[in-house]
Amino acid sequence: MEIKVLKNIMQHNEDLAAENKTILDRQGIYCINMMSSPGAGKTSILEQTIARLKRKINIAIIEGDLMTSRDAERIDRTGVPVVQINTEGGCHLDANMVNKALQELVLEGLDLLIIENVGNLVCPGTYYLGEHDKVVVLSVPEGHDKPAKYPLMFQEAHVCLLNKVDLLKYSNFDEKIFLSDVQALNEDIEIIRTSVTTGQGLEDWCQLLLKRIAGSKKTDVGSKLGD
Amino acid sequence: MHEMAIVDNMMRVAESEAKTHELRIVEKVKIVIGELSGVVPEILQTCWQMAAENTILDNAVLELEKKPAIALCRQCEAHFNFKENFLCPHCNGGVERIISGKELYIDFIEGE
Repeated sequence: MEIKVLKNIMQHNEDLAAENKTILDRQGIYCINMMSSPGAGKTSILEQTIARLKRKINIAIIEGDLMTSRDAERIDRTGVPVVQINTEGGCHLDANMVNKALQELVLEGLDLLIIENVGNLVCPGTYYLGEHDKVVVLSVPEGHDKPAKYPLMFQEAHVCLLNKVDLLKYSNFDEKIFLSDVQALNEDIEIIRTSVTTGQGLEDWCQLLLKRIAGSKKTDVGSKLGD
Repeated sequence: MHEMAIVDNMMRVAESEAKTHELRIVEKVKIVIGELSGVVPEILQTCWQMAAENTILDNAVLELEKKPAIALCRQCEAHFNFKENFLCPHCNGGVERIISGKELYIDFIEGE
């Protein structure tokens, strides 16, 4: 006897992600899922983002890491609330882990929640966490061919930060190929060139966040700011 | 890279379906895997064999169907495989959206 099932194996994750999004929307919190390879500069970008925005808005961070709490300690020093998720070898965060982390945060009054995913350009892209936008960080030393090699990540991202642009002059990174590949995959993606060393692009990145936070507060019912 | 976690979910769904339909034995489980799902079929097979041991799924054959990565062209609306090249082979247009390749679901189970 054949029994048709047609059930998504990831359904459990999708359901929990939807629950996470409901929790965030109820509080009017804009949430991004930040993804990249290991070493692209996610934590450094976060430190700079927090330094520039923490007097204007309330931020919290969920920090995913395979091992150690080093990144969470770096964020902790910036003075914003941080919850560490140690995946102990797991290659991605899932909606259940984020759900538990949300329970540890005081959500009331928050404007922005940034989830720093485990460094990996493959698996995190297949797990929806309940975020509003996906942000992919690619750094110059990784090479311009990465969008072509990891198309799903770049196809689904809403924002791409091309980081470490101060190193362009020392590398054979071909920006033209990079841009045409990313735009071929994703017409709507916003690309910002950044460098934590020189500060380039960080103001644009922070402005983009502020704009999207304001946008999400306008559309959310029950937002603390109303319209 | 996270096939064991996927197999856990698969077993949960397959076991609950088998129970609902009062199957004593499950002979086959058919899974559909998209090329963009991040799942390696060969590793999934190995994980499945380990996880199914001593369960109702112990003797079930795992059949895998791969779905190619297909995109819709944003210019001429043709469907094209973008695993190797994500410009449309007909008009050089980019990707409007992904039509297939992200699938990861249980198609059917077979048993008595």
